[in-house]
Amino acid sequence: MENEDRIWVRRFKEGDIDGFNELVNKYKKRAYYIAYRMCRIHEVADDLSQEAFIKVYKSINSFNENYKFYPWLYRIIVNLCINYLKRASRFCSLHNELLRRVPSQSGNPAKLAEMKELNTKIEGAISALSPKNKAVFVLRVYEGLSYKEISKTLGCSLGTVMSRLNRARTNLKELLKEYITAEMIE
Amino acid sequence: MKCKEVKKLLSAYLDDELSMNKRQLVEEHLKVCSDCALEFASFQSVDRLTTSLIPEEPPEEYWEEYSSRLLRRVAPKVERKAGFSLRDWWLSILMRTEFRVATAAAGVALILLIGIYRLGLKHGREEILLKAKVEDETIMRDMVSSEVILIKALNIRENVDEMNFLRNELVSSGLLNRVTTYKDSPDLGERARSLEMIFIKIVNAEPSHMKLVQKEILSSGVLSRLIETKDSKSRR
Repeated sequence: MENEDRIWVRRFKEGDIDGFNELVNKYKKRAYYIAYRMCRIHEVADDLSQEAFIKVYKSINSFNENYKFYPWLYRIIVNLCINYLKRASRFCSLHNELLRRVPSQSGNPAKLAEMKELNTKIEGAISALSPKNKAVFVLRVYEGLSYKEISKTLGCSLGTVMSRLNRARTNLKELLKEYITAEMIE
Repeated sequence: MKCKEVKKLLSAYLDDELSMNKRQLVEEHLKVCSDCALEFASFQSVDRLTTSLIPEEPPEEYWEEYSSRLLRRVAPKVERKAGFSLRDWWLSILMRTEFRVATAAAGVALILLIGIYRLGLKHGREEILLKAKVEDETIMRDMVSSEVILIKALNIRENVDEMNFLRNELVSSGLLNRVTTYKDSPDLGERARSLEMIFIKIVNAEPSHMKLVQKEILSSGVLSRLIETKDSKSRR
């Protein structure tokens, strides 16, 4: 898997655009969902994930092939998301307006409403985390990265990863208190 | 281990990121501390809830178009990379207006420089030739004057006025000074030294000693050598 990435990176460095295409096809969904879980807006996730690949395209020659490709890509995406979220606090009204849009879904209306409420609550809770705590949480819980991989991806120590993740879970526990209690009883 | 310390490690315990030693300590604490056990269960619940969140899935067409949209965003660079050639790059530089103006200016400057150089060279050469010509003419004239002085000296009588007149002619005309400068000349040096010595004797001689000077002029051969040199130079 990683050797495959290395081959594509090498081919791309040698000027073969197919190497870049292969990397995009392999990682586009992961890139998009990291951005989506960080920012919760489809258009933003789309734009930031594409921006991350453009950065890969521009700076592939500076990438050391002896390292794994995906932590580098994740670092680019996460940094773009953190920067976006910092800027979003300045244009909060537009950001919130986009968040209020109702997603188009089909199925049982009552169940859908319940699901929607839960999703909104969970997304709202994650969204309330600080960008850095959120980045660690997304990379661990959704992407399954180890603490070591997260520390490399974000360029911070293992202790920082541990404390940020602990803080993120503690905050989420408080924000989702009523659902957690119900979930534990079930 | 105290609750405060354990609570800091709960997240890492949940993620199985603790060392064996710390893991055992946390496990032992959770068996006896309901508060920390509840906290740990809450963390597990947080993970279950958040992972149950299903984000709105973009339609399949979105993923199909994702790569082509991305490539369009980087397309100008791709085209440049694919189409790059050293020849085209050079041509693009050569065709730039600034480059063409700079080339023309450099050409004009070069022509001017060559012109100035050639003019300077020509002027310099002419100056050197002229200078040499003047020098030659001066030497010839001085030779003639020296010959005249020597002939006058040979024919002079023991007369103070005539002597003074000859001294005056030798010194005021600057001939003595010029002859002195010819001493360093490679082809005139030796003869100029003899001539200078004779001239100094003429200038300092008493009327009564003029006969001795005349004898020396004849015995030194300076006059005959002077005539010889003058003739050879005039033939050149």
